[in-house]
Amino acid sequence: MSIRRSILSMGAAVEELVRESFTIFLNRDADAAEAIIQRDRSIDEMDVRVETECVTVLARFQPVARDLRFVLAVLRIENDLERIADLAKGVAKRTIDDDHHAPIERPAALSLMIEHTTAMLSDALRALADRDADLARRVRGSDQIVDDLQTRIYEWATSQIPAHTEATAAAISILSVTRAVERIADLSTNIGEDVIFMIEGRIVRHTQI
Amino acid sequence: MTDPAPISAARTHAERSPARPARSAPPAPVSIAPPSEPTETAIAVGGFSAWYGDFLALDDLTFDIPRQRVTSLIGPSGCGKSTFLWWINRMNDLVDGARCDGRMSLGDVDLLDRKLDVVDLRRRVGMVFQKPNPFPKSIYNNIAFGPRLHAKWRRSDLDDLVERSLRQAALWDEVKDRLHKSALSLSGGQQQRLCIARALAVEPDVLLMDEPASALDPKSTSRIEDLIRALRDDYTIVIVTHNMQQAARISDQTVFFYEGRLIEWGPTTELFTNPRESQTEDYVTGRFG
Repeated sequence: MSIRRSILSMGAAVEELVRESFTIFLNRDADAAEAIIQRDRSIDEMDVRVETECVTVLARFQPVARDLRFVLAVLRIENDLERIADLAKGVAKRTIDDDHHAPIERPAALSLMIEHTTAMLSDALRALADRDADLARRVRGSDQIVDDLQTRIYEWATSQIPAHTEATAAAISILSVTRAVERIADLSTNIGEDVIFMIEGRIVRHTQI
Repeated sequence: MTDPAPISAARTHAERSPARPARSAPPAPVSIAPPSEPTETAIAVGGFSAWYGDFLALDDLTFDIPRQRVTSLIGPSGCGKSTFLWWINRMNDLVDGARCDGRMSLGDVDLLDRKLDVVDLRRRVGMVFQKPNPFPKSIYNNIAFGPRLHAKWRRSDLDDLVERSLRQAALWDEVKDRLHKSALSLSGGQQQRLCIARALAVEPDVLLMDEPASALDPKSTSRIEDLIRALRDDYTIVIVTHNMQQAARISDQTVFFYEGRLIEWGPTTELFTNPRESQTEDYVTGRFG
């Protein structure tokens, strides 16, 4: 049993799920969406396995200091990864729904936002694997960029929906995906903060960078 | 008051070292953090070293023990925890070749003063040992023994004191109907609580505990730990333990000794979640010791 191996495997699986769900949404590839939705189940199984391993270690070994911080961080990260996988599944479902909507030209900020968020998740997981607190801090720093891009997409929707009422459903779908992407960025930030706690023992949530 | 025999300070006091002999490497820098809820200092320790013959058992310790808090002393076997505890109430006076240097004070009392009345000191600083050691007397007389040494008592006052001490030690309900039965008829856990009640009967300021639960089963251990937490509001408690989880559970401050040196001391939560020194980290996580 290796908690470290399990959480890194779960992280890699979730990262792949996120990348693929974003790709099929951007490519409007509804045919590939169902397979992604089904894969969420294996993430749920990983989630239960990691939590079981953590509970076992807590019960049997009563870890302290860096061992305790590691187990606590993994418990939080595992929860965040499971939520990220759910959000990715939601993006895949939107891709299927979108297939039935009148199309609308997507804002440039959307692919930029997806690119930043994917990088944030990737960096947060690399910081976990490499025990790299500096990289984890940079993940926190990227969150504002994603929030700004989300604001630009809301502004885009405000102007586009009245002008293209026939594509309202597609625009709402984009807003919905935007919200999911922003949540994934937030959860990646949480993972970065948990990595900082794991390495340095400082709780940096709710603090300025 | 756990030692039944009065000890003459003049006869038994170990010699203080007139000058510190040369030591090998200087101690590692010590991380100092105040307890999370600071209280005033009960016992102040400054530049304190102790020897058994030529063996340097404690090397230049400086730290404070806060009043009405629980302080755990942790570290591998032979690191000097018990030696330190024994110097607080001068048990080392009984050990040939034991000597010390530096400062250790309880309030304005110099604990290392060779003229100190150690009988009076041991009234103020009670001791509970690893193995329960009730006197082969009745439960009542175990408690009454110490107070009778120090003063004459009216029977009714002594009865009240015995009851109060047993209640404080969470033992009253279990023994109130057999106070005049032998203390040796009690279970191990009850005997240990009786020893704590006996120490409390002389109204000490400080309670020293040398692995008080290591010979007890989990349930008795839990009762002793509950008791320590309950006593914390009224007494300054210093406990030596090899049980890391016990130290984490019951103490406010933890002090880590290694090979006679003080490596780190500070709030227990901090020491067990984010110790400053790698040696502390390695010890509390079980990587050595």
